[in-house]
Amino acid sequence: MTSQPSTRDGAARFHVKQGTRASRAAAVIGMLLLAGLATLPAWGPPGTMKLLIEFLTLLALAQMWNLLAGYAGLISIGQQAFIGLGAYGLFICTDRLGFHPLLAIVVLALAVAVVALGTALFAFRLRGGYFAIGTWVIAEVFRLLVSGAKEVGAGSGTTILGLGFLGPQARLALTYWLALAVGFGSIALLAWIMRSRLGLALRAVRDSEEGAQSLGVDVLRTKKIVWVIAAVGCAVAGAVIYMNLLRIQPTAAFGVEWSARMIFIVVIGGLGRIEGPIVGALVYFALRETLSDFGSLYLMVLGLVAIAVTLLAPQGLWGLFVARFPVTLFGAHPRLEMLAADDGGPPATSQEEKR
Amino acid sequence: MEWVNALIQGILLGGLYALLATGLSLAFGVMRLVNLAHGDLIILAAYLALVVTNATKMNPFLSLTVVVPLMMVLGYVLQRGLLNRALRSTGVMPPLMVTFGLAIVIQNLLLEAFSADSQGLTAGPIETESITLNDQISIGVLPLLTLIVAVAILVGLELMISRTALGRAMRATADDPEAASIVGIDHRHLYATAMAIALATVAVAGVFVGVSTTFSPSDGSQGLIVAFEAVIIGGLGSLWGTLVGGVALGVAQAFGNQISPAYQILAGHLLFLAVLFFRPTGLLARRTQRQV
Amino acid sequence: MSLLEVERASSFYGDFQALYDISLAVEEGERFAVIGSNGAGKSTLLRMIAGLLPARGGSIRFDGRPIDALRVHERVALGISMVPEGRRIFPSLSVEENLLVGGYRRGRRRGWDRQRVYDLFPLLRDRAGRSAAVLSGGEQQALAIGRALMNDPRLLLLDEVSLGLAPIVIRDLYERLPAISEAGTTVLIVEQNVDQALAFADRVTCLLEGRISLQGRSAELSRPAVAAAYFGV
Repeated sequence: MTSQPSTRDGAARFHVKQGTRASRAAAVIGMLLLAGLATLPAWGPPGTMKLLIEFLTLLALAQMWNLLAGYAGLISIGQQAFIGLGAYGLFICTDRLGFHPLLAIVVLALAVAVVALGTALFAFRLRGGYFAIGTWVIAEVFRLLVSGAKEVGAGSGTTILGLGFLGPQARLALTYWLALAVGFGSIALLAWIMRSRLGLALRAVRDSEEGAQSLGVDVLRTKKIVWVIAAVGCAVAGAVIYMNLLRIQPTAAFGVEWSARMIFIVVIGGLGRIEGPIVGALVYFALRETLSDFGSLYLMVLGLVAIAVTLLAPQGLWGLFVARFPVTLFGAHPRLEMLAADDGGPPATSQEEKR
Repeated sequence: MEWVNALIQGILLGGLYALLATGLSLAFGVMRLVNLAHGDLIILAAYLALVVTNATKMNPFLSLTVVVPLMMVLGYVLQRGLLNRALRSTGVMPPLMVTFGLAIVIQNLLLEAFSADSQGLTAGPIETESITLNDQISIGVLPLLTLIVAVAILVGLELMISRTALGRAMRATADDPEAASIVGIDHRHLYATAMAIALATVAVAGVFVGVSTTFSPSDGSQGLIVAFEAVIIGGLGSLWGTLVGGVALGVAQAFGNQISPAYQILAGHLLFLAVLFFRPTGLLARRTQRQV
Repeated sequence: MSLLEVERASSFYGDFQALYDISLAVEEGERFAVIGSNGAGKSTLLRMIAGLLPARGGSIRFDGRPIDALRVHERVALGISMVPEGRRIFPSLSVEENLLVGGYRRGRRRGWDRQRVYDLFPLLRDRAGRSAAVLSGGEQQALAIGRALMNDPRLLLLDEVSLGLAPIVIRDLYERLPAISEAGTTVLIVEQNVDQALAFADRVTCLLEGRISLQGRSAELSRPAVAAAYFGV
């Protein structure tokens, strides 16, 4: 992806190139993988599909947290608010309003966007650690409100029945494809954001809020946009998760365990890089499969690993890898490529910009 | 009259909440540390008291003579060994991640050691004794004691901060850690001392929680949220704010409970959100710069 | 044996080398000035002596004893006090509390105390109860110096005390500095203002781009020589 060459007379001419050889290769491999995986409902066992649904939705959630914390500096432990809203939104749309699940997702996405803007009014009055707890309180408020609402089953929760018309196989296939869309989509979304003006603004804000502000970046608006995007992402992922689980309980849907998972995946894998959560999700699932018999011991291990990684390898596993072998698979890697004086000739020099 | 009773009960409840919030407020005031493990440390203290009282058959309040020193040592070691490292880098992430991880570790440690069953500390008749004012209002002795202890601790801390050399050193370090080192303050030791003091208050809070209500390993989150809301409602940078915030929260919850028991916690959250929206600096916003 | 000996010490900010093999010695009771233009490395040198920056290669000795391994607060306990660039007084403390906290490490040394500091800077006595945050620049500078003196230091490091102050305030400040060295305290100042530095100090070192360009007794150095060393002409 390149921009139009600058062609002012007498001035130097340059391209801004975003892709690298590695990123182009990764994009191709990614698309082939996606195509391959999409055929799974035709031949794959349901168990594998369910595992992939879990993996892909968790990956999407982690990418949303990555977007918030790694790029916008917003550390939230309350994203479960939107996961729960996505779940209950799906329920209301399919069971109460009779929408087709795809329409339901569009509708709930819009609704959550509005809600997210509303919560921003409160959350953004706090900073740093207190912002984090504030987001948690907001999630708790939603949990309490929903737990008291008899229309959606109150504290004991409810079951999504409105998808019954699909039949179990079709429902699983649809959920699976949506999970693929959500999982791969989250990577594509972050990559697209990073190559856009929003991404540029985010990187500027990440480096120096004051500096960015003085250059005309509306810091608050940038953060709010990211907040809404992440909220909608979490809600859609939440809807897909519960399309699979079907049974919604407020304490689980709005539980802080979701944040714990998201944080763990991103911290272990690497914050602020798109590839990080992919690595983190793989590690998370590997740990879970090997240690799941050990219950709370497994969670303790997760906590200890998160502490260790934060202190000893703050860039995460992917960060460690990239320190040795610099490569950008999905992120933006903008470089200035100078053109020779004659129009369209081979590039005279190439200057790398550090990501 | 019912509402007067609710007000009184709310103020008394606020004493417990202020007690819960004190350690969080102190840690933030001195070190800018938002300790996400705060609530779980309170529960840990309650379980420590449980172990001590089960082993020695002593009164839970007496067990403080053991639990407080234990928690102070834990606080010093935790800060010196782990949290100081997290605070070294300038980002907000490391302290939050480390304390978040710590919260998970403590919770699950307690779960492994004690199971998920609810526990309680028995302190004898004091739990049910009350002073009757009239036929509609009675004041529980335990809640009253909790409020008195909370006020006493806050007064003590305020005196320590404003009158002693240690308190001056804490305020100076909170202002400018590098300048503080230039006047000879070892900030690593100072932070650890502050955390030890904070966990001493956490120990007291834990015992009072254990006596006042039942507790289980997963209750830490509620404790953190209550403490946090009390601090924000009262206003950052003010120990008195912690008391005011706790009482305001208690009163809001009592009023909510008066409408319907299901609304109690929600009422507290709504007060918090209202303060956040209309007066983000808190009810007792300080005009001067003081952090603690 | 000199009170302070810096021997072939270098200092870095990341990969950038700010000081190259600096060597100097300050005798007890002396008035010593380090001059140089902006970015020459003067403040870096002072911060290195105080312990805020590590000295790479070479060593620093205080009273004959190597202090490279000592952290900042440990050097304060030995009797090294710094008045940092930009004053850095504590805004949430009162004037008097700032002084008191300056004596955090003094132990049982008998020398400078609150009364003597107030005698040196009467304006501080007048403002003792006020918050330090409302003081003017000159008053804050006096407070910062007073705070450092409360440690009853053997060596007082002054980093650019004239920065950001009006000439009349600077003159007033420098009129009081001799009283400090007359009390027996060794004073090492870092100054951009060459006139004040030369007037105050017994010996002078000039830094240029991290290296020593001139050293000597201030009385013996000619103006052209100093100018040449200062600007690197």
